[in-house]
Amino acid sequence: MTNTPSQPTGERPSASPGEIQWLDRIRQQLEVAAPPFDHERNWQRVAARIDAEREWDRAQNRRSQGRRPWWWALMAYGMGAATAAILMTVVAPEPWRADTAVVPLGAEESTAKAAARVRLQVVFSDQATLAQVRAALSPIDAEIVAGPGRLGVWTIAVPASSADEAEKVLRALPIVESVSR
Amino acid sequence: MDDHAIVAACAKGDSHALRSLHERHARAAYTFALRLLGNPADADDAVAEAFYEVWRSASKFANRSSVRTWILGIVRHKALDLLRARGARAEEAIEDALTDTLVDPGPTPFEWLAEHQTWEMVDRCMQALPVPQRESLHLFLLEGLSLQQIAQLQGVPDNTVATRIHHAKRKLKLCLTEALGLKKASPKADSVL
Repeated sequence: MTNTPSQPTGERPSASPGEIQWLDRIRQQLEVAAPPFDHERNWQRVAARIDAEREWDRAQNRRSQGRRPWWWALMAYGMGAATAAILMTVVAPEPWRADTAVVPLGAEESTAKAAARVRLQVVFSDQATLAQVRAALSPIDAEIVAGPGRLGVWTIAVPASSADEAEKVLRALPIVESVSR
Repeated sequence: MDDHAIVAACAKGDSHALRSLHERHARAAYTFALRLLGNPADADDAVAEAFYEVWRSASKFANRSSVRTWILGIVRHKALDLLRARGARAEEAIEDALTDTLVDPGPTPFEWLAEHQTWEMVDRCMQALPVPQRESLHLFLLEGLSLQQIAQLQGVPDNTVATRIHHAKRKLKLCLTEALGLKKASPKADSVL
């Protein structure tokens, strides 16, 4: 964009025609005086800086992301959520199971239920396994109330209506050494 | 595609757009930088730096001026940075310009000067001007910018630009007169003047 002083753009200082001609000549000579400009070489310098900047940005991004793929953060979040869900299920209270009755094995029987049952003192042989004890107690509807004590005596409770029959069954078992009320 | 659209493309990271801007304006930027710096290598540096700055600040271009004026403004900053790095004192040059006691060479016929001056003389005399005057005259003559546009680019009032151009023309005329051996005190000069 090279306007001659005689073709003004916007506000320009006033000048005589002779001065305008002289300034126009100055302009022409200054244009001649300008040394050649190596367009391509200058552009290569600019492009090299832009490339360097982009490479720097890429390196910064890699550093900030720890060279992990894009899905890494998503997967880590998912695993965290799953772990939290498992912990909630296993450790935390379960309100949806609040109505489920939990009866400890060794819990005391209620007074009414206890009144309807008879307690027996049973001594199992030393070789009897826990599975054999369970197998012996289950058919007679017996519950372990206490034991075994230091002498190996188990206290069990059986329905009062079948207490005699239960006593007979137990005495007949080879793993039972003694039964008493 | 017009310049403003190209700048918008640059702002989106299109380096081809920047190349288009470079093709359109780099030569004018170089001529301007060379006029300020007087050294082709420094001018080349200033242009490369300026176009890198164009790339980085394209998103901030506010469309308040022409793209050419905006680019020349960036070139000017880069050139002045280089001048400061070289120890040139632009501020002192401005003071010189405003307080100079230059004697007007008188009514030397412009036609005579225009006929006899050579481009080497013009170039040398132009480079002898203080930076702000040289810059203002260059933008006025070669870029065809108005006083307001130059003032906006230099960050000074319009009147300051007018004063700078006035002083630049006077000094240029005196320098050329002297270069042609037409010093005011000499009999030869008197005969011409």
